[in-house]
Amino acid sequence: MEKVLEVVEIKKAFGGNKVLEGVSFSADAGKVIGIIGPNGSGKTTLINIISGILKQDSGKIFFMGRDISGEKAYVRARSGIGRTFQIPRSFPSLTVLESLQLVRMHSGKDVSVEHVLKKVGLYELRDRYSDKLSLAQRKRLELARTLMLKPKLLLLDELFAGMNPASIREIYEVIRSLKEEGICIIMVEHVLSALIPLADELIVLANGRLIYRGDKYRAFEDENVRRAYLGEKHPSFGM
Amino acid sequence: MEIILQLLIDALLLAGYYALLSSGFSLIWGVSGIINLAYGSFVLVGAYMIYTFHLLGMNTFLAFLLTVAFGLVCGAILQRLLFNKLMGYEPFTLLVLTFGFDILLSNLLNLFFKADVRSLNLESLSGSFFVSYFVLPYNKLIVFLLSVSTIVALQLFLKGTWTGRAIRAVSFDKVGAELCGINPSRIYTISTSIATALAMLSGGFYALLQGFTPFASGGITLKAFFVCVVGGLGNVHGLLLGSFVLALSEVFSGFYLGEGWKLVVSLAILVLFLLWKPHGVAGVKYA
Amino acid sequence: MLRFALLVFALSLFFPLFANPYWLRLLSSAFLLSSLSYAHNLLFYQLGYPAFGGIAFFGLGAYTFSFLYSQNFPLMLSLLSSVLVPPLFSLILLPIMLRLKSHYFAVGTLALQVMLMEIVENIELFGGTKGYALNLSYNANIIAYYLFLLALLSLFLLTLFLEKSPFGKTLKALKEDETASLTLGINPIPYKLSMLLLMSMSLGFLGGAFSLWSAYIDAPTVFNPLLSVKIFFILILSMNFPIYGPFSWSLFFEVLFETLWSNFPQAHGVLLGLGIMLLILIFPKGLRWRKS
Repeated sequence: MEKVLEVVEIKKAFGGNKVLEGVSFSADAGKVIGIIGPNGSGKTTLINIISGILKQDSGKIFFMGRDISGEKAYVRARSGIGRTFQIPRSFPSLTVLESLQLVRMHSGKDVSVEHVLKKVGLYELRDRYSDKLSLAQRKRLELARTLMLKPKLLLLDELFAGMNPASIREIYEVIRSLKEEGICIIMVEHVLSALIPLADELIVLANGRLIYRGDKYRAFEDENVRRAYLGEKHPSFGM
Repeated sequence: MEIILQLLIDALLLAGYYALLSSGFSLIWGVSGIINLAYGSFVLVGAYMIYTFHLLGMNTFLAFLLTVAFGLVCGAILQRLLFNKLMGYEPFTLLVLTFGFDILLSNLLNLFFKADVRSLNLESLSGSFFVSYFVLPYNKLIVFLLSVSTIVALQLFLKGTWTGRAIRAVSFDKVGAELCGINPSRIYTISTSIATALAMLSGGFYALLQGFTPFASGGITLKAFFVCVVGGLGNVHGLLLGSFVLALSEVFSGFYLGEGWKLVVSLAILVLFLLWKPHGVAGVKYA
Repeated sequence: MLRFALLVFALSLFFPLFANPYWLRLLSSAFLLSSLSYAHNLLFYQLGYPAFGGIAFFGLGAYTFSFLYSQNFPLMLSLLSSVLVPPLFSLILLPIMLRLKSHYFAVGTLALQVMLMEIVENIELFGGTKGYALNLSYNANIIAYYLFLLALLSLFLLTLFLEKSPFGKTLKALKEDETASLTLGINPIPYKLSMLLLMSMSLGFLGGAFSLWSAYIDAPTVFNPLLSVKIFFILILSMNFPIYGPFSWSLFFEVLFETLWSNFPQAHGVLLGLGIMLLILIFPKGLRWRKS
């Protein structure tokens, strides 16, 4: 069973600022991988590189066994990599329905718009213009758009940030069902209460390096993780 | 062989001037992030001012001094009254503003001076300096020397004084500079002021070098843009390099291909750099 | 609103039959200006790329037409060439559109305009500074009227089509957020290319038609930056009204300029420059703008 995603020694620097210094990991289908770490540790940059918006300085990316290191972003999207943004991006001229129809037009995939709308809970709002939605609704729209790509890999950048507990609960269920469908999901998150139950394993990034990878509960007992993420003198993280 | 050397000398003299010509444009772009499409008009305003002062019989040195002072004042007003209003919005708005300003100034100049070609021919600068086979026209030589001196003075200012260093700080990292207690707004005013003065000064030199009409502004702005793209923003090496590339391309293509082709070659080089090396050869800041 | 527009169009068809030359000229001028505006909007409103030097293609079209026609090429062929030549030049700008931010595109078009103007003035083959004086039949300006009207109708319908169609929706997505569009599988290249070609072809056509109308063209006239300012003035005012705005404002301005400023041609440029500066200072927010 090939890996859905394999990231090998990704390095990226902006001028003198080394944002990613050789990050490697892999991910399987139907698994949720949580990426956590202090701000500025390179998490979003990593997502940008995997989705193709940013080009890595060195290193390789393999998707479903295929080397996509040089592929353009829209090609990656069409082959089944979907991503959401930290701050949701929407198209003010398009309604919810139109946004999804737009993706369908370009993805080449036969996905039912109605089905996706109902799945994320936006069916009633389908004729609302995208910029007239609340934050949580926009996040759902972003998720819905990625689902139109029939993705095998989802890169979710701080999906739960800024949501109230009820919304978190609903979206949580959606992610869980997507995981059951076999989609590989990589989630950059700070809302650990939602991430931990969902994740199969945890990756911790700090200062552009991968300092821990493995069991989610043991992550917080790891020396390196505590020092980087939780602070030197922090007592045990009460979960 | 002598021809090539003569052309190289011509290019060198021209490059010095182009460096001065582009320095103001580079300063505004590098510090405030504004591509000033009206820059060519500023240069022409300087040219017409010096020309008028000369016609009125004023001493040349005084004329230049007044023009530069006028430039300093205008630049400050420009930044505070116009640019500052639009700094927070999309870059497009500033482009439209400077675009409109260029049209306004060109047509104002046209209203006052009409479209006849003018130039400033000083008797003291007619004739040339001869070194074995090579000709160095006095006006080009003087402009070259004065331009280079001004660039050197500018460099000293930017590297040596607190204000100059503050300007460089803001151009590299506005927020960082602010955190150090530098007021970016004041810096923008100062740098635009200096930039406009530089523009008008080079306008005066422009008048000494060639004929001009109110509608020559587009070409001038384009040259400055070329130098900044090819040479890069943010340091003097880029400025000099870009100027030299421009001068070389103009002198050689003008000689071997003809007048009409100078711009074509320049445009081709510009497009190539925009696509492959938009930072320019020596740029440290990407606008 | 649409029915009203079609009525106006129908009336315009018969206008030359009973109108006097003054009104014919005024209306032709208004049709030309509106068409130029709609054409520029194909890139500005639809994709967020302001072609400040778009007039370069208009001038190219005018020169192509005039050059061929004065070499005794048939009228239709000359006109066809004026449509096909400018797009070839526009391809220089394509890489800039694809890789760089929109303000580089704006400056790029200006560079092209300045360059073309200078080349054309320096090369005797293309008339040099004298330009072209064309030998046309007496009803050439009526033909031009209909050409302008045809261009206007086509561009108007195209704009209408783009507002509703999936192709148009893709353009909107690209304009409003290209990065997000890329991550959704949208390939921007065919869209940017087709709009660039459409714009340059329309402008070329209008340049050819203009030559027919004016019978005399030279570089300062057809590469006139004042035209650009007028056009963008109208486009900024029409930012929220892409379908009816350009025509309405063009008509308004043509009438205004004709009646008020025909006595002060010098002031034309000064007022336009000042006008657009004031416009952008008072309404800088414009409206939905391209994410740069």
